[in-house]
Amino acid sequence: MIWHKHLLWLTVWVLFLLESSLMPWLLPASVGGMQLGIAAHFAFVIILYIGIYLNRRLALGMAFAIGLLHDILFYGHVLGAYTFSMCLTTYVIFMLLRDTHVSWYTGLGSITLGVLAFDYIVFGLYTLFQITTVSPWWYFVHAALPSLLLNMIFASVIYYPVINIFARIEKYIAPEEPEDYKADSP
Amino acid sequence: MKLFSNKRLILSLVSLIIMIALMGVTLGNRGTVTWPEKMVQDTVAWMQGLIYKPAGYIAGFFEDIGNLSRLYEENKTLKRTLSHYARDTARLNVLIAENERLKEALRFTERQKLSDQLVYQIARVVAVNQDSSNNVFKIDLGERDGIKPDLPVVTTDGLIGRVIRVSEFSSNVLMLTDINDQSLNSRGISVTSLQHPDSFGVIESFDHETGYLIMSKIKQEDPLQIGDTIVTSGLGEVYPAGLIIGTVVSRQEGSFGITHVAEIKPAADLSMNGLREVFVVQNEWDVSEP
Repeated sequence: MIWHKHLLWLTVWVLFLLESSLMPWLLPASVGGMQLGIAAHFAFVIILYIGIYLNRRLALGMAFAIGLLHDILFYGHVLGAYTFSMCLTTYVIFMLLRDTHVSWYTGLGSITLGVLAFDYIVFGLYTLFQITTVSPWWYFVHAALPSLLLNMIFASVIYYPVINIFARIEKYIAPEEPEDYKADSP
Repeated sequence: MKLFSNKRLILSLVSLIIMIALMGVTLGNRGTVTWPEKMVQDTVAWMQGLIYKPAGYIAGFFEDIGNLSRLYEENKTLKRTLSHYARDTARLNVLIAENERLKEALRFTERQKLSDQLVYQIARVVAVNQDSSNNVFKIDLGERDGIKPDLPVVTTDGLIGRVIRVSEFSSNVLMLTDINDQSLNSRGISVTSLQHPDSFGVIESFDHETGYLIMSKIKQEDPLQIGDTIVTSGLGEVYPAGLIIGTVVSRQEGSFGITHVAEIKPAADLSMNGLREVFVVQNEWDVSEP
């Protein structure tokens, strides 16, 4: 049975749609006269949750699909920045947490770091291709930090519901591990 | 030998190379938009519109309630502007008639006559990208509605960007804030001053720290003054003449001391916040003769 996969894809898809259509109306463009570039990465947060607690392969697939979709939809300068950053961040986080039991602070902490790393990899790529010339510190204050706060709040709020639903899915069907998982681990 | 036995490492290195190559190839604008891309663009744009537009109406409703207290003041100002407007229209009518007569006398071709007249096509915004280094929003007009790449997009206040990618029923608009003299993708805008039509300059970059556009390549003897309204000059052949961009805030010597540089305060709100309707500008000739 793969009904839970359909459900997860649907959730990620709906969150992805909301990021660009509903969130611009809810988030302020400036606070106290300071321009802010708050970006909601809700779909990415869910993908990281899935990867850390449920199914790594599914999460990597989602990261690729959602990243590519975002790149195509908002093609302004370059194709592939989001795909690359999402896949890389997801992959590195799974590799780091591969053999550990993930407690709530490790989980939330790695999701927070993942979102920050994702923002900075995208920014780094844009700087590399000379699309943007703002300084990393300016980017941190005006875009990365506010988005990090928003996404952290979102991740914390959905922590318990997500864990409960994942536990129910796991009870229903054991999460499948990649075949080469055993061979690679020491 | 250990390195090559690790299948995963090879796989990740290959995908790294592919991704960087993809980015390198797609940097700047590719000429054509492929059909899978168009299909994805249009389908998702439609779905995003289903959420963005109603959300905008609801947000607008609450905004209106908040605005009620300011309405009286605003009404007074608008009435005053309206009287100016009526006076200007009367003068304008005379000038238009005279202009027509002179163009007729000078045997202007049909194309020359029509290229001065601008058509403002209203477009509704369906989605906004929140990435602060890639300020793109989507509108619900596409190739079928006669939209072409590089058309300027304005709000009622002034220029905000240009169409960058067009599919059948939707297109992407790149904001003016992403203009950057180091990027392959961006184009300078040749501008002039409304008060001093002899002045010349090029808007090539945007200062994110101050929120001002940077106008460069101004001659030292240029008549440009602080407080002037900056409009497109039409010399670049990409933007038609007369689109309002902003007002001059400061003017000083450039980094080499040969030309001057001015800071322009944008007339329109460039934050993409609360964008609902925008106008795509074309000249009449391009609309009538596709």
